[in-house]
Amino acid sequence: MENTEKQRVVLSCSGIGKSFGTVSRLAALKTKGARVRCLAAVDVEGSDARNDVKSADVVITIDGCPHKCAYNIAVRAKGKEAGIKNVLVWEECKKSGLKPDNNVLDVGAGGRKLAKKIAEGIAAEDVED
Amino acid sequence: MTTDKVGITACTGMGNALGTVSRQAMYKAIEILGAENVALICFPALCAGVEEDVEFVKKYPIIILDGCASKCAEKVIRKMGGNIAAKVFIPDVLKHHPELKPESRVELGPKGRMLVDFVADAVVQEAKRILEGKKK
Repeated sequence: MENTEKQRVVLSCSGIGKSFGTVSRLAALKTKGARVRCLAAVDVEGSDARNDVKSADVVITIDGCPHKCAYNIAVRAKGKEAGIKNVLVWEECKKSGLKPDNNVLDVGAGGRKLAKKIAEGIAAEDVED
Repeated sequence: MTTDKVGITACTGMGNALGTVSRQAMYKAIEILGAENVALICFPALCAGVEEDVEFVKKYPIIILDGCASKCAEKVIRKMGGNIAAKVFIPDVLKHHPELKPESRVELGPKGRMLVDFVADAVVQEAKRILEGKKK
């Protein structure tokens, strides 16, 4: 029987120095129904993570700052923007009203709820190419 | 060689709990060392080619933390022509303290947090050595 299930890969920026970066990481780790890959490994030519991004039907990137590093690295690895959806933590923060504490090590209850909400949103959504 | 600044960066490690250890140890080391002489390098920004991060790793000595055998931080910094002054490989630290296995990627637990302290201490020692201009 042919496997028609979409291969989904999640990449978070895991940004350093800002609590939105920590939220992006937590959100990726809490996402169900997708393969979580390491952004640094995606940037290494020939790595399994890079190959997974190239072959995935859908790549969901989670970014914590306007540099959008996860998205940009995914585009570079895949060679195209199609099939990549970018989730922006600060936009989700605005939409939900859930705010992380200003602490990179512990984003607090608001940050953990925000990460869970982002993860659930990604898991529930059927992202089209 | 003496330097007035040293950069610290950690892999984005998502595959296992040692990636979380590397990240937390980096923050802890910066807290101990103070921000005057030490800079956090955002590793994803470096990978994405954000100019200020790329320039920093070319100009200043960098301490890198890697959480798994892929050693992505080391590979990326080398690719960019960065100046790697010290490497802290978390599995090596764990080898010396096998009882301190972290619980999970999201929650390290008390043992994992103790491992963070050991890793942070290793980073602090390396940073002091570099800032004092001592050869390894």
